[in-house]
This record gives sequence, structure tokens and C-alpha cells, in this order.
Amino acid sequence: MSFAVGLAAVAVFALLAPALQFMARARAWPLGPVTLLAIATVVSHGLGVMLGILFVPQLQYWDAASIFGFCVMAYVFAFGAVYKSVSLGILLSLVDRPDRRAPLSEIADGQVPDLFRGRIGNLVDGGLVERSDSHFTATAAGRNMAGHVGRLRRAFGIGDTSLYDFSD
Amino acid sequence: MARSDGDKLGGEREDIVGEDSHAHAATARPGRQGSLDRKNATSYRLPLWLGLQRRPGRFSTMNMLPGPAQAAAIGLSLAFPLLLLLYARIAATGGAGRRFRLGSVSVVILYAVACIALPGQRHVGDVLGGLFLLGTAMMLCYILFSLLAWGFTLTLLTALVQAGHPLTLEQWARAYMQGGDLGTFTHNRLKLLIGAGMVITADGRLAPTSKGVAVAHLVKLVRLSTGLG
Repeated sequence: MSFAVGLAAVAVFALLAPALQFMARARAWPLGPVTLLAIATVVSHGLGVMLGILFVPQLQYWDAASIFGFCVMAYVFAFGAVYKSVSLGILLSLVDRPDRRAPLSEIADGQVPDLFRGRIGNLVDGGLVERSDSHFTATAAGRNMAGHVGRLRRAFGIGDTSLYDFSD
Repeated sequence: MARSDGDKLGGEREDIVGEDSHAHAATARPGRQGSLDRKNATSYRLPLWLGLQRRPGRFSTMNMLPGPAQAAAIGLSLAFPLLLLLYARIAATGGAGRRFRLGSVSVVILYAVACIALPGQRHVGDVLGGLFLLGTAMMLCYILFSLLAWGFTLTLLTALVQAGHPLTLEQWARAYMQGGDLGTFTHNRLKLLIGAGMVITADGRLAPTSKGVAVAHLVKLVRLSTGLG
């Protein structure tokens, strides 16, 4: 029964999370998609626990939390995969063309530089990079974040190219 | 075993609910300890609705203690990043992706060993809950790990900081690709799509396969259902 409580909370999350994303876009809320996901998680988990306390004779918290955590993380995983994936962006652009074909040069010279500029825009909007004339410089916050990322990458033995290693 | 004992004692706990409701009300007063089931010292009862007199049978209690397998899964979830740190010190474990897979397989094996080695009879819900917890931790770690390893935007930032001076857009692209150009990056991402059988190349043109079209439709569905539009 405790698992059912967790699943009920998942159902609440699955309705609340997209509703918040739609509302944030429609009303121009200054909250990022990840923050909205975190809000939906806390609210639905809280509601699930309340539901369990009200209707389940002996709620096993970790039974409910385990299935809730798993399903929500799977949702976040899927969300992250489709949110800003470069590879999937290329695939979608191909499928959306009338003849479903594109020259390689068009992707390399058109779409990827556009993605590049878009991500730079995100860094500027996020206050991590500032633009002066045609040059870009990292802000103090950007340098700080880059320092943390560099240390984590070294600790976990991760390279700094962001390229997929197909020999893996 | 501990879990089934707890279940048995659950019945006993229900029998003393009236007595316990006084204890719950008492917890609102300063200087009083939280209610602990005296017949089962391992079962902490969350004091609910502090300050209110609980009507017997209206609200249930909540067992906050994980079962033995779930406790093992929580421990392994906390140990998982440490295991990845350890594997990073061993050159034979390969690249980032292989190391993550190795870490995942290791914790699943350790969880199976824990389920077998822990004393007492296993409870299905306990083992299943443990698996869910372990899966949650692995997905969370993968999301963070993949951001570090393959994050486009983060790597753009680190490339700019490593350059140490202001860069134009073209210089930044070269710094990002460590001397290469965005064409190298495009080919790397396309290799993923081609390797997964989602895209084919013919006469310098790219085209999605039927699998690629199916994945694209799935992506659109996920985007729509998660509110990304």
C-alpha cells in the first residue's frame, strides 16, 4: 500500500511538473525549468506523504519514497535528455524537413553554429559570461563555476572536451 | 527479518493508539521527547499534527526507518560517487563512460550480495524498494556525471576561462574545440546518431532512418508531456 502512495505522488508530479512549465512560459516567471521540477517534486512528495498518513494504516515511508524517487528521477532523466540535447536537436531538424534530408555542410555550418550562439546567450543571460563589443569574458561567477567544474572533472578523471569517446 | 518483526509489531502499535495520541500531543510541549514505540525501539513514530489531540483511527503513523535491504541500498547510493572517485584513480577502468558503467554494475552486485548476506528473511517490498532507491541514485549520478563529461554549455564556459583572456566568437569556438573547429564537434555528435542507427549519410546528405523517425516522434511526445512544448 505504501508503494501505491508513492505512485499516487508520481501521478501528482506528472501533472504538476508540465503544468508549471507551461505556466512559467505563459506568464514569464523568472524560474528555470530545473527549479520548477524541484518545486513539483517537493510539493508532490509532501502531498503523497500526507495522503499516506491519512489513508494508510502504517505508512512505510521508504517504500513510498523509493518508487516516487525512481519515477521522478526517470522523468528528470527523460526531461534532461530532450531539453537541450545537441544530437537530438540535429535529429529533430532532419525529421522536420519536408524531404527529411539535409546536406552535412548545412548542419555543420548552419545549425551547430546557431546552437553554439544559443548556448553562449544562455551563459550571458545567466551572468556567467559578459560581452564587450565583439569579445566575451567570464565574470567572477563564471570563473568560480568553471573552477568547481574543473576540480570535479579532475577528481572523477573526466576530460574537458565534452566530446563522446567512442572507444569506450 | 527486522522488517517482518516490525510488521508484526505494527498490529500491537495500533492497539495502543489511544495511549499514543496523548504522547503525540505531549510532544508539542517544550522539554518533552518525541514518541517512541516502547514495544519496538527501532520504530520511531513521527509526531504528527503537533499540539492537536489526535482522534484515534483518524491519522495513521509513519515508519521512517528503511528495511535492511533499503538501508543497504541507501548506503550503496552514498558510496556510489566515492566508488567512481576510486575508479578514476585506476587507469585500467578506461574512459568516463566505461567507468560509470563499471561503477553501476559494481553497486548492483554489492546490493545483491547484501540482500543475500544480511541476516533474516527478505521482504519483497524491502528488496524492491532498495532496487528503486539504487536506481534513483544511479540516474541522479548519471545526470550529474554526464553534465560534467559531455555538457556543451559547461565546456564552453571552462574553455573561455582556460583561455585567460577575452575571446571573439570564432576564437571561442576554436578554444572550445582545443584547436579544432565546430565541424569536429558536429561530426562527433553525428557519429552518435549514426552509431545508434538513427541517421544515415548518403552522397554527403543526412537522412533519418525509420528508427530515427520513431525516436524523433518519441522525443516530441516527451517534450510535449513534460511541458517543454
